[in-house]
Amino acid sequence: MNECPITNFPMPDSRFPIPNARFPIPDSPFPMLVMISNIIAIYRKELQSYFLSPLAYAIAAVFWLITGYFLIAILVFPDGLIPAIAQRDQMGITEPPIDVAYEFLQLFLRIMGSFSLFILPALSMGLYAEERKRGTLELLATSPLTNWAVATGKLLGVLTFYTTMLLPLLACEAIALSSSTPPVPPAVLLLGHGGLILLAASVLSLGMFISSLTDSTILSAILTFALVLFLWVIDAAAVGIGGPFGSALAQLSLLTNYTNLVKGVFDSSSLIMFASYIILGVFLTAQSIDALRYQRS
Amino acid sequence: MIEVEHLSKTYGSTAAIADVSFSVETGEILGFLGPNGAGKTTTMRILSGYLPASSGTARIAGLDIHENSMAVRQRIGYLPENPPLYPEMSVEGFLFFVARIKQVPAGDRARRVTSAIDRCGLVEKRKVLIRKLSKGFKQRVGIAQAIVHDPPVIILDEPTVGLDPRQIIEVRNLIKSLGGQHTIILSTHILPEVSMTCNRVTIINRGQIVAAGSPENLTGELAASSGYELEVEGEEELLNSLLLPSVENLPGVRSIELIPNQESLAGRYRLRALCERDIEPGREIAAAILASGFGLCEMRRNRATLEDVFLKLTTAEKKQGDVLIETEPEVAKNLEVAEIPAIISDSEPVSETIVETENAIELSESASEPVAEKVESLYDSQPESEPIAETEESIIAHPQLESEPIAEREESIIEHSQLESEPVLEREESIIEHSQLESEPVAEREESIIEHSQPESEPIAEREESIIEHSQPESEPIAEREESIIEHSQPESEPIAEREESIIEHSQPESEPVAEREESIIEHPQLESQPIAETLKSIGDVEPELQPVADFLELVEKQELIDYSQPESVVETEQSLEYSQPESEPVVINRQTKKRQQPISDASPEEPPVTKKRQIERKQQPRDDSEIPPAGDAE
Repeated sequence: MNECPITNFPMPDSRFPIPNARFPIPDSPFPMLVMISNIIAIYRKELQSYFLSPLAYAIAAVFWLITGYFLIAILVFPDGLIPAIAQRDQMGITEPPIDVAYEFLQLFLRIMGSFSLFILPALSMGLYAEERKRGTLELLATSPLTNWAVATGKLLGVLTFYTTMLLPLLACEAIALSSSTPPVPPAVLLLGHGGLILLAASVLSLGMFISSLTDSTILSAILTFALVLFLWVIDAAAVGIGGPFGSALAQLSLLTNYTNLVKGVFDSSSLIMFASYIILGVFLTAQSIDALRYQRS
Repeated sequence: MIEVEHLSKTYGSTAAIADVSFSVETGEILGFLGPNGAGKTTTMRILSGYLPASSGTARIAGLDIHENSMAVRQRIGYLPENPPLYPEMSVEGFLFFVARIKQVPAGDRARRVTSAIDRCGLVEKRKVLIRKLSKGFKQRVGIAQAIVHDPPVIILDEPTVGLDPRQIIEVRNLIKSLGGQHTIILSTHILPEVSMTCNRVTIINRGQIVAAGSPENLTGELAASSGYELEVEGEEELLNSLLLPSVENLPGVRSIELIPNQESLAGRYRLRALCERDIEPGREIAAAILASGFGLCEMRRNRATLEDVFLKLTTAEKKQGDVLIETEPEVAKNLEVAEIPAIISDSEPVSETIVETENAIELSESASEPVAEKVESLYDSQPESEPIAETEESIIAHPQLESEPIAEREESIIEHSQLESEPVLEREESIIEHSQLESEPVAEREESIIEHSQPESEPIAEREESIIEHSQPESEPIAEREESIIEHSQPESEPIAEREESIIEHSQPESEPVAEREESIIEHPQLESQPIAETLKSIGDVEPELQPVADFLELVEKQELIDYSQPESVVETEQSLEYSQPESEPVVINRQTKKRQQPISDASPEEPPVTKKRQIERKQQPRDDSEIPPAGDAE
């Protein structure tokens, strides 16, 4: 390589001639494809940063440790499901019959759902707060990307990471359920776990919005947790209020909708509810980034 | 390529920029200059599509930045003030990511990334995580990020901020190499950067463009106000009645005036003469002053620099002004310092000077810490052969110098070296002239100082101690500094080789002095153990502008001139130095380099300063011999 004699700084290399600027660059005939390729670019970057982040691994470790403990506790601990049913059998109670596998799935998914609420804000807290803090938001905002694409890519990235966190637990579940006769219907399995993912997506989407409001990851995590907790307990409040307003509030509850799906009930209103949360979160994020740029001083 | 028309941006009720219009042609490098908070970053953010403008339009490559935002963003490479980097990504991975989101076609990406890595000198860092890079490399990755999609327009917001001088030069070279193919807007508040890299300059202040044009044009506009700054000595009555009119009537002199409230000695007056454009009546002015019976103590030509233009246009802005203005009094102070020998040559009684010196010493004791700091940070910048009176006098100036961090100072040194290299040379010459004049008085005074200081034994003992204490840690900061300027150890030894050679060359014609001088080179380190020599040495750290410039230029820019085939002399010098004074080696090396500095910086080898120096050494020689064996014995 040829070097500048004064500073030893490499001079432009003739092997890589910089062509004269090619413009106008033809706009892609498929804007949708461009959008998708942008989303994929952001998604890959997000995934990469999660899988390289020690924080993400710490969160995953805690998640595995605690859910793993619950899994064991449900199955074999003295006050767990199987010993309790064995005791019931010994006492000669056979009515009503109990589907142990189904009960186990219900319980375990509910525990996973509850516990995820503590974990998810930690995953979503850095989504935009970190970008704001490092100034990389400026790079994203001055690239030919829409805010929607960035937000969607980020959400998909963090959701993929969460799903990856679930995989080892799913393996444990599969081992536990493989001994059940008759086998658990696949629809129930699918709905239950799909519900868990939808729940996570909703929470992450809202968390992403909150993360876009602040530079501080801690603040973002705390606010997200507060919001999620509020949505979790809103059905208790709804019961208290009663009437049409109460039932409307109950529909908003994450818990109610999640429980519906976990039960294996295909409730389209629950699906729509989760989808609304997700889209709302992405939309608000895009708007908040726009607003941030408009008012930045 | 870039057309900006009546662009405004308001935050609430405050206008960040108001009615900014300019245009940049294809391939130009536009310097966007202004004090902090002037609206540089806001303008750049608007152009890059990060911020929307409140009113006005901007077009890049014919596309409106609002209407065709996405297309414009694709054609822009933008480096914000803090390079936007993901620390957990590798350099290559990051650039691939940027190429992807800038919509570089998949087939082109690898080639584009490789090209950007090559251009920015990141080849050996391509797999390194960005988190682990130094600041300079991070900045380069930032620039690589801005050019990876080969945009026609590159916007760089303060690309050299926070870098060390070497890195600054590298980044500037990189930017220069990008010009021509790309249209570049570069914002900065470092003025020489603009005159060095940019074809055109736009100066912005308080959100408004106050000047635009090429650097030459801008400085040319101010050329009308160029002139001389004079310091004369004489009687006050005669000043107004005789001197001023006689100078004013000279052809080419537009006006001359007394500069009030200047701190100068009694009977001295500072004058400012303004000249007609393109006429330099310096000779006539000097003649007229002497003809009026006045003494001419200082004469300095003021040339308009970009700095002047900038200050003139942004005087209302205090914040930025501070930094820039401060360098001016500093220069003036140094010049005052440099004049002192002139008093002596004007046959003033020596005792007065000594009284002054003692005052100065008291001053330095009372303010011993700041002085010590100064001494540490600046030690290597002192020419050894400076007149003693000057160096001692300069203690007074010491506390007044602002104690900038070294890095900043180095920056300012670069600025100075590039903006006013000629004045510096002039000044060096003048110092040499001064020292020629008063070679004997110095020796005399030297003795008398010693005599004077003996009666009051206690304070001096104290002072000696403190000076010695201070002077011991000197070697470290200097070593640091040298490292920071030149990361490799090569230049440290090689300039010496070069100078060694030149000295030998110089000294060949005159056969006798050679031996003497070589002696003095070897014996010189001994002087350090002597309290008075110590004092002289530590006092001698003035002229922050003068010597560092030469030093720095020597070290940084003359590397390629170094003759690699001179290992012998280097070894010799270093050995003798090590043996005689192993602890303070860097200091000694510096001293050596300094000693040689002047013959090099002057066109012809000037013997007189060396002669004078030798006299001093001889004076001190007998005392040395009694206490410390010569270096030869140590070997």
